[in-house]
Amino acid sequence: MMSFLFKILKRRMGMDNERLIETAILAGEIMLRGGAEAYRVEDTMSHILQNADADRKEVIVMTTAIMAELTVKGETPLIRMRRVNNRGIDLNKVVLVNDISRKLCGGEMSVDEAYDKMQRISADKYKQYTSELFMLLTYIGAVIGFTIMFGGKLNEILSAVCTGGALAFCQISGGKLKANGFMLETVSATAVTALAIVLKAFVPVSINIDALIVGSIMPMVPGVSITNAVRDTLQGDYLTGGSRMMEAFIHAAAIALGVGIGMAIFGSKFIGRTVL
Amino acid sequence: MILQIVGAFVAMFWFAVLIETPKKYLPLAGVVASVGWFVYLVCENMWADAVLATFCSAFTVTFISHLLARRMKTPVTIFLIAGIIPTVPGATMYRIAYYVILGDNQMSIHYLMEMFKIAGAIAVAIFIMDSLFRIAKKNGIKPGSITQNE
Repeated sequence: MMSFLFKILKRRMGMDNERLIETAILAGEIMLRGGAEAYRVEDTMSHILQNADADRKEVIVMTTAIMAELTVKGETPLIRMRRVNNRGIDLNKVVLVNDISRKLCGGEMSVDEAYDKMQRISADKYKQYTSELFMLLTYIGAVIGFTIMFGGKLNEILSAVCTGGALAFCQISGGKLKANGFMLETVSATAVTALAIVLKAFVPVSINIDALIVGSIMPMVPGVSITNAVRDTLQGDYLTGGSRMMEAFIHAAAIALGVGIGMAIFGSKFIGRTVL
Repeated sequence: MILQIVGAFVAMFWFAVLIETPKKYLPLAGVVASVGWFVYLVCENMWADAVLATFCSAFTVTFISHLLARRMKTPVTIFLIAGIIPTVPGATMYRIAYYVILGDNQMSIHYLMEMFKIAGAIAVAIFIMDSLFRIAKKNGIKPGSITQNE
């Protein structure tokens, strides 16, 4: 009896279900954009929808689409859809939304509060690091780290500063021009390879060019896609898993193509095939 | 070798910034990556086989990341991606392009096969560890008790 009254009260308070489904869809969109696995998005959304007062609660998440439905018997069903393009990687947002949904389900946060918070998070400029100089240094730091990891010494580290700078320039300006991923990666890999070969040809110290080039292309490798592909496939989400795998191979092919172009153009000209 | 492990830490710390890992997890991401790379280097020295070494590394990394994720109550991917990245076949991709340009088809196909094998090894390692943890979760076994049994 009490629960029935509570239900009536909830409905009278108005738009509770609608608010909830909007919150769920927004959460799903942010997470999918942030590069979360599809099954995690589905899980979070259905947890949020568990709070709804409806007879039928359905969520479908695919690589580029989200759908949710709430139906109360005898009323028009509530259905929301979202097409999600331009996905990037932003783990911070995934973690934040995860926290919010956990608090929402635990009753520590009201739906309105959660919706407001998520809307603030979903803005594009909501980033941890915004300074371009910092991003430049980040790319250089990553390239130096990977170069050391693959056996680079002092000479390679100093050259890695140059290639890292080139990589950062390509990636940041490409992001500003909104270039698509395939082209951006090919161009970046070409630039890095060409620069490495030129450095080896003109700087009179010995440079381990393998470690340098591999270290410079490592920040672009599709590690996130591979990880997500495996975990989605394991969950039985073959559609999403398969498309993520495809994504990983396309990115790998783009990088290999870029390295190949860089070598073909600059390799024979400056140091000849035998040295390369 | 120590230098290379430090390199893995530095690389992953900065790479984690690139994929916008929350600030408080940055050092942990680096630590997971260096543990993974340490296992990889040791295994490669022992067996001289990149595929097997990748498998061992990915296996260890997945285990650690699941434990960390349980403790920190965050998505496991944060640590998992950090640990997997060093073993992702970037070097193999470079060699494929290198031998294609040199015109050495045999070597390029050899490395192409190796790339598929390494990717498969990573996948299988994550598969096994994830399934184990899922079984443990369904049967109500806590992560602590698994470590004691092993």
